[in-house]
Amino acid sequence: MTISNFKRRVLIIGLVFGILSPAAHLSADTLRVGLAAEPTSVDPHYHNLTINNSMATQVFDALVLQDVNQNLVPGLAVSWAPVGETTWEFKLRSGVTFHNGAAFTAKDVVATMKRAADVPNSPSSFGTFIKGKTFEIVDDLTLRVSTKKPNPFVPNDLSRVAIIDSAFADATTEDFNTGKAAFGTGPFKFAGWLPGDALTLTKNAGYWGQAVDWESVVIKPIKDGTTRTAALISGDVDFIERVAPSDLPNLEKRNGILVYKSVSNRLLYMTLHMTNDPVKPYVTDNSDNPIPSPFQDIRLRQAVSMAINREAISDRVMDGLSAPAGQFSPEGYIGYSPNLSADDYNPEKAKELMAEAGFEDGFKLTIHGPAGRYSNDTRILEAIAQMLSRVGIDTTVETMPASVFFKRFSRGGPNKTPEFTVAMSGYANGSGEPSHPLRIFIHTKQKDRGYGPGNRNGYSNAEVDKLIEDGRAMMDIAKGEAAFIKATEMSMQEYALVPIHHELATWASSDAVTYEHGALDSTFIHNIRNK
Amino acid sequence: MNAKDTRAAVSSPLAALSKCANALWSRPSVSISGLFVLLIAALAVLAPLVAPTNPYDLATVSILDGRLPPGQKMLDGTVALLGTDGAGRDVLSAILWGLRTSLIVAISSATIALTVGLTVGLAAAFYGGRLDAFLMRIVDIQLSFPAILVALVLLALLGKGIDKVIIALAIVQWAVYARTIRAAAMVERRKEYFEAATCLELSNGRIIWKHLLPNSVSSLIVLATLQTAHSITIEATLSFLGVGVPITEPSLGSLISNGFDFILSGAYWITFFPGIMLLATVAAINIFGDQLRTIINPRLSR
Amino acid sequence: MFAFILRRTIQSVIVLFVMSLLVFCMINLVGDPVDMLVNPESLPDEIERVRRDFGLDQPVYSQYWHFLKGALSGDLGKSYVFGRPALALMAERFPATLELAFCALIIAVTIGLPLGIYAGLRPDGFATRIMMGMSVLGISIPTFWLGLMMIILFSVILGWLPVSGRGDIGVFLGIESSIFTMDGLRHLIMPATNLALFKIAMVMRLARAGTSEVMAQDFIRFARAQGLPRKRIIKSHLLPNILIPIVTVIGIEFGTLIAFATVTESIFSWPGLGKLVIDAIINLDRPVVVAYLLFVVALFLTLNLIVDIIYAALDPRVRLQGDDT
Repeated sequence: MTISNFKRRVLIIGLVFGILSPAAHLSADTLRVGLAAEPTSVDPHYHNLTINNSMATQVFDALVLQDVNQNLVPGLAVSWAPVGETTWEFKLRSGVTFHNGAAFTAKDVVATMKRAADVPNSPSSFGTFIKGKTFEIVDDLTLRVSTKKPNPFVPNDLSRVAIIDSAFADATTEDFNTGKAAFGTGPFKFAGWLPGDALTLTKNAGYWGQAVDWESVVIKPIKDGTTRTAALISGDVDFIERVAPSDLPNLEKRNGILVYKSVSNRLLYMTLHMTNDPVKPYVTDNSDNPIPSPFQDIRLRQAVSMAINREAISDRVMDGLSAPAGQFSPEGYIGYSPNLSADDYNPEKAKELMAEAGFEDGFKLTIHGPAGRYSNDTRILEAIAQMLSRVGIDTTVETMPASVFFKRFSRGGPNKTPEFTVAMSGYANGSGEPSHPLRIFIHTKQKDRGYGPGNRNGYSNAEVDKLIEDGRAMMDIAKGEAAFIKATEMSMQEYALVPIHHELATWASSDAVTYEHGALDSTFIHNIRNK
Repeated sequence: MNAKDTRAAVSSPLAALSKCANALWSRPSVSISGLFVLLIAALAVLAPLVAPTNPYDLATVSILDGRLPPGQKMLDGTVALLGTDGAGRDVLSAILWGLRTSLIVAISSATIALTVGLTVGLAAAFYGGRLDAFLMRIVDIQLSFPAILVALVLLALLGKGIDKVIIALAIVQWAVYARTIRAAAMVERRKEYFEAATCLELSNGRIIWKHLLPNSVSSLIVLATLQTAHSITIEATLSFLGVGVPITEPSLGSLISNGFDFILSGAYWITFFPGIMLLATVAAINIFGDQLRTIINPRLSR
Repeated sequence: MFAFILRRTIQSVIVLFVMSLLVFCMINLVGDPVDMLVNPESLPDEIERVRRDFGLDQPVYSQYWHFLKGALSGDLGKSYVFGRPALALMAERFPATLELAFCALIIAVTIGLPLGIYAGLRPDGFATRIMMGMSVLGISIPTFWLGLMMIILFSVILGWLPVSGRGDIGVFLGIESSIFTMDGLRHLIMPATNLALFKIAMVMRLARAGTSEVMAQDFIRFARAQGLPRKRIIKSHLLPNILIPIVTVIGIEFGTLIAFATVTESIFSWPGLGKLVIDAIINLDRPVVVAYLLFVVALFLTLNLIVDIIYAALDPRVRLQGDDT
């Protein structure tokens, strides 16, 4: 062997080993996190999107914060209370500085609200939470917010808007993405973002609350569930969110891996078309002639609910990662009624109800749903189709990408009416405001008043509508909540929707870290602690 | 170029085909792979008769039977020889029915794509000039469309279903055939026999039928086998992205991609057995195609 | 030659125009981006505001006219989701895809070509049978399935390679790429191999088919009879003859590698164009989808042109159209 040949061989071997040796663990002060999604911008006011909002809470604070169960807790405001029928007063926290050193005062709040309501090109702005509110500076640390009509949800709304330094009130979204303007008061400082690759944060040593355990955090978007699990097992990352249900049993058994679960407020539900108009092609008699929706009859809606074996879906499709639901909120949550529970599986009763309503021979039905939008969505639809077929409703499933589904779901029919007879969709309450699902899904559709935009099956009950509207005008939140619970009970007993289950949120980590989680399925990185 | 190429070895595509049919009997390796392809085709055609259960009948499938390991008994007493999938379908039955679906999709789309591609490719090569430039630019456009987008648009317009998948796959594939056929025909065109044929003032149809086509058949067959395999795979990938065949009527490809969710949890049979069937099918088609090619190719069979 | 290139360029511009019209109309048939963008908790006037801001309240032809005006000045529109120019987003992601496709191509040629030639030279050899068997497997396995299998084997079970993403980036001769660092190569090897696998089999089959055809021809027999050494026959008689179809295919395949790396990129979370466009399709980020498709078409047209020119250079008998004078 000549010398040059030998050298070459050593080089090649070195190369191979260099490439193939396992990754050296990064320093203990760096946390690596694999998330299922990636924010669309670092600008906290650009896009009202779950992942953007949860990222924003790392770098920015709002006046009011939501804890892991969506209870309101002091943030940049230490206290708040109504000081009149239409006015709230917020006392601000003193001695807080932004990451660039500027002091936080009421002026920053006003500047923030002005910017956040109107970010150019925003695909979904925060105007919804700001418009209609007047902000008045009393002194540096006192702020009054007034509305035209009594609004008990001002603190909820303000918990959604991240406060920035007034010096950057005119900054562009790009200025935030590059870091030029991304200075908040939050537990982490923004360090850099390579879209598609990684977002980096460093510790804010001067944080007003409990300091985080990490000098720096690298957040990687890993979309595919199995790849995410594999990244954790192989030690590429220390923490992941949204474990694929089928990977869970394996992860739980594994040494050195911790798994966290909690019932989230994400509800999966079905809507059944409840009016005569129009007759849709998705329900036919057994010889394929379209018939008016049988679900105008409450007995048929109840039959569908009873034909669904929610326990089996939880056990066989979701690998235990769902809790059968009978209403919008899971237990322990704002707006939860202890008088409602998921219907028990009772196919015999379902058949009886159908026979009573004159459908003893069944009918044919096509159910629709999105593919890849919710955890196991297509498999759940398939299971539901099996169950309905067993009680005599000959069911076909049609799934489609979410972008196609939502258009058809809300206005794919004649005259931009909702297209489907039976569809499955999901909902999660982002603001923790108890009237929200009632206003969106249950109240009679009144477009100009903002009521019922998600009411796609024509459900309408004047008494329920009144309860919702009255509750939304009571400054006494406890009284308002009682009205909402009553409205929830009435509408659920009429099957305004057929709830299926609440998803369980999951996270997994190496056993070197722990995670304090709550009902929200968002991931809050400052809650990941070093053991 | 050598002188012998001035004669075409076979005089028409029909002759080329009958020649390979003859060769089937004379070559054991061909007849074995051919028989295997026939066997698979027979399984697909006879699936409703051979399969223990009907996996597409929702009223008889139950998720309570979901993910049973091979050899377990299902609720209705049938033994699931190869286990059950996530929705509770007997994997063996699902494979047979899925094979049927996959083959229907692949063969129908390949036939449509081939017919269109053949016409376009031959026309382009034979007439040349502006028509050629025009057709080839269309091919360029078509080749640059990602299959997923075509499928998405078709889905939005037509809804979901096997027929839509077939159309989408045909649209995705025809250009590949057109380009290859044109390339092969161009090579033939430049050979001396072609000039000779033109000099003899043979009719255009005759030249295409007797000379261009037989000599392009070899590349066509290699391509058709590759593409059949490929279209089964594309179909699976489309299912993977949520726009393929209906979930309640899975093809082999969608069985594999559905089953993948369960790999890390140890339920290997859901993706493994359909995977083996897919490999066997595609491999058999490929080998058979290769053998045919050796026979048909004028220069190799000499 | 010049006339040929000019003519093809003009044709290409027309194709791009037709293509943009087609894509624009097609994408307007699918879904409604507002459903994907606006948070469902927003009030109705917010939905109207977004529709207005993005010009979605305009009829399709006026949206297209607006787009065309922008396109002529090099502006293909802003992403709905990111609020940034679509071209800038693509330029950011392009190097990652390019290096992935480039490595895949190198892997495909360095493995596929020698094996294919070997198989063509020894059609009945034992090794050939095994290789062709493997190549059949290679084209039969779905890419996404193989990718996930590779992750399970090399990352989860063996723990050798990282699961996802792109590694550290190094600079060499002014080019920034992850192929210049160890970490980068470790991240690259799995996705590149995954993407290459189908192409290896393809190159191999093409090389074999070409070889066996050429070797059966009389001029090779003649060269053999003359007693020319085997190496020389392969180098000066075989290679030039089989390279033409292979170059054509590789040229087109490079375009498809870039355009269709989508699956590999989503599995390995590779921050490239394919992942960008898949997300854009899912979110109905129309400007990005349109810009991407136009980019891919332009790329294909360019590659085809280059292939045709190389074709002419390799085979002097091929005369380019428009070059007849």
